[in-house]
Amino acid sequence: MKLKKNTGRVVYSPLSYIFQVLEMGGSAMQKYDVTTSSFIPNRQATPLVLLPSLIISDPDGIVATADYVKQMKGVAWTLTINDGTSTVPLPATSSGTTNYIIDPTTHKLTVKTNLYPGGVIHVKFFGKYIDTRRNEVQEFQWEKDLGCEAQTDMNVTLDAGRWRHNVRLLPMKHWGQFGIPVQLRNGKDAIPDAKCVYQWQWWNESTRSWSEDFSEQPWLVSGENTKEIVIDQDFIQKLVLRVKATAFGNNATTQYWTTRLRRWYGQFDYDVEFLRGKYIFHDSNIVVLNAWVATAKGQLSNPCKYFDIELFFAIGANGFESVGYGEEAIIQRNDLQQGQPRAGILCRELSAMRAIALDNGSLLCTDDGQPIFAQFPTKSREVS
Amino acid sequence: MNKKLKYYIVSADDARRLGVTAYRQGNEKDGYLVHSGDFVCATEDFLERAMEVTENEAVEFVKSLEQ
Repeated sequence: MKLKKNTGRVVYSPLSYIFQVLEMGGSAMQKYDVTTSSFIPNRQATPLVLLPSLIISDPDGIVATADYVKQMKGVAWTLTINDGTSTVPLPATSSGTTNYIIDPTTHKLTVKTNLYPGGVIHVKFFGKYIDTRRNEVQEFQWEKDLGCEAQTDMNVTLDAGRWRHNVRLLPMKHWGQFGIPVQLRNGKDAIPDAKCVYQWQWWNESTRSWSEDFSEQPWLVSGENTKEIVIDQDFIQKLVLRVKATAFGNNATTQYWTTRLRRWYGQFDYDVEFLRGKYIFHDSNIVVLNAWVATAKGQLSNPCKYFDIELFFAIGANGFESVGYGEEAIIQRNDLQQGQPRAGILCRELSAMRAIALDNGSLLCTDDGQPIFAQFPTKSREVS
Repeated sequence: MNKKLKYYIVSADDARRLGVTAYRQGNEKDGYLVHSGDFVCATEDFLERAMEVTENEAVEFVKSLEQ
């Protein structure tokens, strides 16, 4: 009689899987700084690592909960490069290349290539896990695009330091030749001069436009194409200067800075006094007049340097007569007793140095062709 | 604001403390190459011990590891 058989089964509960790919050491989206032509980060130095992880847990607790990625079978990374014009698939396993390194044990993919903006690498992972107890095959896929975006890490500003947009040039506080320095900055950092272009311009009232022609501007000393223009105060009556500064040859970074400079006297007072002859006696035949000019800071020691001072003298009801230019005038007369002595002063601000134009429009020049400059009163002469 | 990325070489011990050995390049002897982003959660003393290198020097360091 034949033995009759029946077979029982060992039942394993289905395993629970968590599959993921960890992005380590960077992100899928790389940045390219257009300003410095550098990658952020440079993957040749600090690569992007894609590390697959397969956490398996057993509801029955027989299989220990752990990462079983090393037990995966049929693992393949597929990379497809799309550089914007064509798509080039890489070998499924590219361990032979230096830009993409695959760890055969952990299946870790190290991406050491940099992508230019517009380029895309499509990364795809495929792997299987075979549950031999249930004879069950689980397949895992993961895919992602690695890209690159251009960024301009710029905050370009034009720093003029202590200089203001409106500068009053006090003749009595003589700066002589002085520079106006500016500096292009990216954030807090100064941009190297080699990467900047500075061009100074001045406002031409007659053409109502900015001019870069400095050929006949006596106030310019040097530096019209540098970050510090040097000018001469003595020649500036009223001047509007502008600097146009461009960084990295990129017109989008162009910055302007404007300043107005003008000769300015501020508050001042002046008068004339009798040094001699305030009281006329029978033998008095000389009068000495002395002029003074004072600002808020006190009396000027050399007022004729900044002012056109004309002194006047009159006796009795007679009209004023000009008796000279300067701080002091000496009047020697025999008819001083004929009336009350009176002194007058006309004190006018002097202009900046100006070229002297002749009637035909040409400039008055020295023998060697250099224009002659002089200062003139800025107000009209009113004597009444 | 200029947020330029900076590169540093740190000792293998510091690389382990920073938890970057799994993805940064280096070895026990020469140390590891990291960048400023790896110090985000680190205390200041890590940065004091790190040696700053230029981007070109960083790439050269990696090449020297491969030789």
